[in-house]
Amino acid sequence: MRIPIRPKIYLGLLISLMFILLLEGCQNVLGFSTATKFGLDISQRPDQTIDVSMGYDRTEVASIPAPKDDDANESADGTDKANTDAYSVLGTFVVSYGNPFLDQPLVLDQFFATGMAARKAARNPELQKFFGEAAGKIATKNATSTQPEGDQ
Amino acid sequence: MMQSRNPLMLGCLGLLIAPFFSACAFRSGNTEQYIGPVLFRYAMPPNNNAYVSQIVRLGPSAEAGISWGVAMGMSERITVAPVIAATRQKEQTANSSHWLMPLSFSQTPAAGEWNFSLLYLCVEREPGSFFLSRTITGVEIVFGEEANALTVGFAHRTLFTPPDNAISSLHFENARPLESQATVWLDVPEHGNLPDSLLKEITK
Repeated sequence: MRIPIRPKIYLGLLISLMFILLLEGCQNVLGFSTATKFGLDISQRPDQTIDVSMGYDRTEVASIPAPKDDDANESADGTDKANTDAYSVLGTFVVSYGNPFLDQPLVLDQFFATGMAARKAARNPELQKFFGEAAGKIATKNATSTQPEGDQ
Repeated sequence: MMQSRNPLMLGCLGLLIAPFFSACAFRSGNTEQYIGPVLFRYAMPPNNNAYVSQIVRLGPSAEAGISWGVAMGMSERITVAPVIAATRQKEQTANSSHWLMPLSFSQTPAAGEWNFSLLYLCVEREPGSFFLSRTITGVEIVFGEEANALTVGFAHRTLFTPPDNAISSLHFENARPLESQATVWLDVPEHGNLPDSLLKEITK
């Protein structure tokens, strides 16, 4: 006995599965991502809309989860909001890249303090100095790069 | 007589040839399993400052588990898991990473050099990786935690997810992935001296 095949049902199941899998990818986590694309690419990053690119495209994305915005002093689980971490992040993020087909590799240097560790790091004098110097270097670099030619 | 034997012979032949042309990956938690041919290399402490794995698959391939997808072409996946550094409150955590090829002659592949697994490769790692680099040259459709994408051509994606309530450091160079450095400090003192490894990291 042969069971009749119904293509519409299979198509519906496939679309539902793809939708579930897409939702699975939308997680609310701290993440830093880079992408280099050449050709046709349809992709969707967490908490972003669908991105379609044709040709060459290059992206760097930082995704930091935001706390739920409510005015109550207590959070949902009954703990005092003043003593819970909204989500603190301290970090330096250095990316350098060139043509991936030539000898110009992607180089990533990342240093991050997250959550309660970021709060503690912000109060630690040695880490304050480190992050202060890193911020100073970035500010100096940005000021130099935006300066018109001939003024240097 | 020939007609009745042909399907069986073709089936056996197909089973013999299939591993040469397709590789299937199943990843769940800290375990990865690969069926079919894969080219891979890895590095781990004490020779390296991170747990690094690089796996290359050629031809048609499929994956399931934390991400689901199929690909045709050359796909490369690099993961970096950190070393948990010692702090004043905690000793350095003894991590582990096991690479096994139970169906091969040399069941334990060598670290730091390219290895080839023809039939089955099993990787067990602890802790989980916090950096991922995926490259596809060809066609790929993938859905899941690692990526949601349809690619025709070339795509190289990286994803760094630092752990909560910790300080994380990562150095990654695409041309030399095995030389990656990744460390996590879980207990950071608010006042007083920082751990030596963290001081070294911020002053280099």
